[in-house]
Amino acid sequence: MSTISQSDMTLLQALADNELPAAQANALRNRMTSEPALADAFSELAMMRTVMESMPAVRPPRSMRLDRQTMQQARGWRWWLISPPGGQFMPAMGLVACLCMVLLFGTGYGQENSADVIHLKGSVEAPLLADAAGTAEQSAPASQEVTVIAPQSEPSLLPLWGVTAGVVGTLGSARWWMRLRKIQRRVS
Amino acid sequence: MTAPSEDQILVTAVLAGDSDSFNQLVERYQNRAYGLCFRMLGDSDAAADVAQDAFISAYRHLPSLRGEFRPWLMRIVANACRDVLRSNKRHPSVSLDTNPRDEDEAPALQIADSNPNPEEHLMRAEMHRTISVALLQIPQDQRTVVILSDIEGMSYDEIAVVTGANIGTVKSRLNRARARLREIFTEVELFPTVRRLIANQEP
Repeated sequence: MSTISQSDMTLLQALADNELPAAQANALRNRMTSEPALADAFSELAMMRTVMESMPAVRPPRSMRLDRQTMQQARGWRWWLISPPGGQFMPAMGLVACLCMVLLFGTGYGQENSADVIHLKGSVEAPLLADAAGTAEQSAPASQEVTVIAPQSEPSLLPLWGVTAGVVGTLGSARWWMRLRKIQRRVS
Repeated sequence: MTAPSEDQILVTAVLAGDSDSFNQLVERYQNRAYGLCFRMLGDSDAAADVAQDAFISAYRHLPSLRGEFRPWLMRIVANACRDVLRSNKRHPSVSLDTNPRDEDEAPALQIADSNPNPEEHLMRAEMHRTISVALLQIPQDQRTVVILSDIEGMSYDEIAVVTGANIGTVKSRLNRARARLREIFTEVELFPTVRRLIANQEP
């Protein structure tokens, strides 16, 4: 055994496992007829395999079947994606949600309340705006309406997130639905 | 396009909402899964628990299955066994020596032997016990590969999928595992027994 190289040993092993291409297998068999050490190593390997293959099949002491409760508990988020309640309506619902998001935020509806221009009446008492309205207070009577231009605020990312979530939700659910349909078509 | 295998049909049925189909898959593979666990861990109860957990994990992750079901399942089982062995290494509570009390109950000794000769029956039982103990003496990664190859009859490609290693690594681990097993078998003089059993089988 010690005279056999590692590469030859790998070849013999592949031959014993029926993993060697036919041409290489034939060449190795030819070599075995002239090299007894190779033949001995191969017979030992074959015996090893015989020994291992002789191991009896084992049977579990109990059934491994899963009951419905275990299955329900085992369902992760992927399961929710692939078979959500009312799953067949998911793409349509996602599309509607996306459209709603676009209509609500994409068209600017609802942004009026968060406008930078604030109309105040008698707001000179408001402490936070006192500095900003300082000039106006001096030049206008308290009973008059005062317009304060608030500092430019950061644009809200909510509309972007809304639209993104809608689009991703629609595409994601459509993808799962198409995948399921594809598998079902393939099976049928 | 190739026809879908029975596994694929069952997986599709499960994903489409038919939970019972998963239990059909369980019944198809529970012997293999348990067998791998038992030979990896050497303990019947622990093997049953690990195999059961592996099936639950397989059900949980079934929507992410790509490719064939069998190697994917066996990968989950092998990983579960590896985790248990690592945990046992950190907190050793299960002896790797075969417990004599368990030997009578261990499924490995329930030999499907049609030969009525009691002497041969004993020889086989002893041989299987020796192999089981020898398997527990080689490193875990080599043990996995040799069990999958020689006992479960998997190809190198399938073993590569199950273990997450490349073919070269699979061959190398198999080579080392067999070399180590050969040493142990020579040490305990197993080969003469095997030769005798083979000779008895020949007409």
